[in-house]
Amino acid sequence: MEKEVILDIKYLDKSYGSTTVLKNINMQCYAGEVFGFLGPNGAGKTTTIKIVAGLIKKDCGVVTVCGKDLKQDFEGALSCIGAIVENPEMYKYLSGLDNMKQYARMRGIDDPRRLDEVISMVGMSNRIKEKVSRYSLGMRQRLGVAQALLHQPKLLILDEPMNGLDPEGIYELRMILKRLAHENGICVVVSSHIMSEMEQLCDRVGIISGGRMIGTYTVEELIDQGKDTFCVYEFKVSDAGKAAQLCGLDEKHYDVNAENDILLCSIKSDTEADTLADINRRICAGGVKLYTVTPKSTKSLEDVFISLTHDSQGGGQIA
Amino acid sequence: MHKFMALMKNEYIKILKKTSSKVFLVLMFLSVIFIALQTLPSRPYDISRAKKNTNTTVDRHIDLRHKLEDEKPPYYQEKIDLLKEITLYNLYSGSWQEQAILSIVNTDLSSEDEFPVETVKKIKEYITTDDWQGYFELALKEQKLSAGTKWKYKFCIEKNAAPDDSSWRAELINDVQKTLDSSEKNNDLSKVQKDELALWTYQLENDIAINLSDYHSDNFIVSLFRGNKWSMWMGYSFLIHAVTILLIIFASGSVANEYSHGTIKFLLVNPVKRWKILLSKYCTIISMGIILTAIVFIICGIIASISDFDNSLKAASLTVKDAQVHRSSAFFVVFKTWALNSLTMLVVVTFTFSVSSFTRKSAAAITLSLVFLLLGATLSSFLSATDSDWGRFLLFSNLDIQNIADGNPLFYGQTVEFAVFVIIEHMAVFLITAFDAFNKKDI
Ligand SMILES: Nc1ncnc2c1ncn2[C@@H]1O[C@H](COP(=O)(O)OP(=O)(O)O)[C@@H](O)[C@H]1O
Ligand SMILES: [Mg+2]
Repeated sequence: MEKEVILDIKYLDKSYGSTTVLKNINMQCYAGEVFGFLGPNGAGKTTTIKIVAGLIKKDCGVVTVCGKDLKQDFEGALSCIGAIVENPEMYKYLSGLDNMKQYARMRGIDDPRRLDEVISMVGMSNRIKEKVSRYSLGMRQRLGVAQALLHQPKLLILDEPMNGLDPEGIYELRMILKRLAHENGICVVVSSHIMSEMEQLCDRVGIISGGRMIGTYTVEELIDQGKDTFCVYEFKVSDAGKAAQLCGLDEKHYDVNAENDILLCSIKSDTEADTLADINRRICAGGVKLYTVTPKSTKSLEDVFISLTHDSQGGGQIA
Repeated sequence: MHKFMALMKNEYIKILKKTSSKVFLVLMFLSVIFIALQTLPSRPYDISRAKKNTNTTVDRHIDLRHKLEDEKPPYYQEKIDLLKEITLYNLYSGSWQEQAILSIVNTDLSSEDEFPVETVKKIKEYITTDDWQGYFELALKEQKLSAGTKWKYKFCIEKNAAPDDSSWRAELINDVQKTLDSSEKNNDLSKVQKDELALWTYQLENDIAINLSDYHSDNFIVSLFRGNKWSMWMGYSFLIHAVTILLIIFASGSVANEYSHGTIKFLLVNPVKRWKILLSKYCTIISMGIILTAIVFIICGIIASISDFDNSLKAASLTVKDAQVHRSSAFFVVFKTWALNSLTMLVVVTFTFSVSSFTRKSAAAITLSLVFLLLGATLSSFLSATDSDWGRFLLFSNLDIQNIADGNPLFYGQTVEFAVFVIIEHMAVFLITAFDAFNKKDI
């Protein structure tokens, strides 16, 4: 069965003056999935989201939401979208509830139960009558999510929603978003520059860097990409220098510390287990005492992310 | 429509729930009430010119006596005695008593006619008993009177209006009398005199003490001191400035604060077109202006009416054209004055709104608007005073529609049509700027 396309972006370009910020962005997001929109700072995530949310005008390209063209049917398209763009700024002198009522009025929602529903969904029921000026960033973030969900949109776009949330909050939000996507069939688009977060939350990720779409991957595909990279192990030994010679590794792939008691080895991850066993055997056989072996870093999506995005950025400079 | 009302409700909540807005609102009302009470007259304006100067009484006596002593006719002593008795009474310059005595003194006493002893005795009695009606009837019957005096005596008897009381009538009666006398002398009246005569007689016939069209809009403070509720109410229309300043504060924030607080993003992700959002903001400010002006209007009406010195005085606005009097009700004229004065508010607040939308800075909007409000009119007067004729194209030169309609424009030959055109054109520029800036800008 073909999945319903909720957000369809084609050939999207945007430049501020002479600086091109987005170049030929293409992506599709489907109902019932959490789509991670991943890229380093300055990659153009917020810009893309702002265009979809109708905050800035695109130079060219087509954005369609639920089959409605953003330009031709602005109000129709936007009524399918719930969004938080950048920081959740509210009217500080109003209470959380009054803020929510503002959105309810603008979207033609009369039922007060719907307000209670979204407010308790984000766990703000106890504090909702307080003025927003007394809220922490995390609480405002929750209120922002509640605001975005208020009119039961088909597409939920959140720009870096985990910023400022405590670990418990992150966990809860993750659960909420997953439930919305997988149970209610909403298309959730979450932007972030933190790969590990995406790994736990998303079904698919689109990677953007320097204003260009690098590609769209399922999380499994990304993990597979990680297979041919190296992972680092730390060997605590009595004589690191000797151990290094015994291993017979290429010079690039090991490092010895100043105290000569720790050996760091990079091991190809597809033959990880075998190589590790081999190195252990060689060190022991060579008469060097081997105390402990610890994986220094596991291969992660972070590495993939960095390697994917690094090429398009001149030496890690902010684009 | 329902949705638009919802948008406006949002805007009202955003403005009114702010603590600073509440403080400003209270301050505005307090200052309106304070200023209204401060400018109340502590005593009624002395409308009548009669009984102005009792000091001259002595001089009058002396004058009269000299006159009498110069006389050398046959009944000299008899007359002298009689008249001396009469002149002992207090005479006010222009009072009916003085006129009565003068009417005798000025009779050609040297003629061979018998001295009207009986008449003089009667006159003496009327003066001593303060019976002006008696004297007027006698004079109409027996004395040769000028046209004005005849009219006056008839009018006073008909209306039972005491000639020299300190009421508003005395002044007008004397004015009419003088005009009629001069018309008798010159056999004709100028156009202005005819108009005046028509106006004054209309006022006297219809008992209208206060003619509101006497008060020009730049003369508000003067009209306040008339101590009449209608003129005061009209004069209080300068208090609209308090509402204007408050609205400038509200209008300057209505767009700019959304940017400075960052809430603009959350405002514009809603499925509402931008122009509708901006229009709802504009309508909110304007409707708030109308409501606040209405409240201030009512407050001033109450203050003016409780402090009225003489509730019996009738007021209306009378204008004369070709000796025809046109009458408008007092309330209508007061309301019109307030409405025309609100025009400046509308224009200034639209300007504020436009600057706020264009620059996204509330401070810029407030500053420019206050400069507009405080210096605009001054600049126009300056240009008018220095004969810089191009000043007529400035917006500020065209805001005082009342004066332009009354025929007192700052620049020669300004018309109401031209003023309305200039105002509409500027409003259009302001609004197009505001909407264009709001629609196009990237957030
Ligand atoms: N108003 C603007 N004018 C000029 N350049 C801008 C503007 N807004 C963003 N940019 C540039 O666009 C690029 C993408 O920004 P953004 O979309 O905010 O990145 P991120 O992926 O971190 O959200 C950045 O290089 C930024 O400097
Ligand atoms: Mg961003």
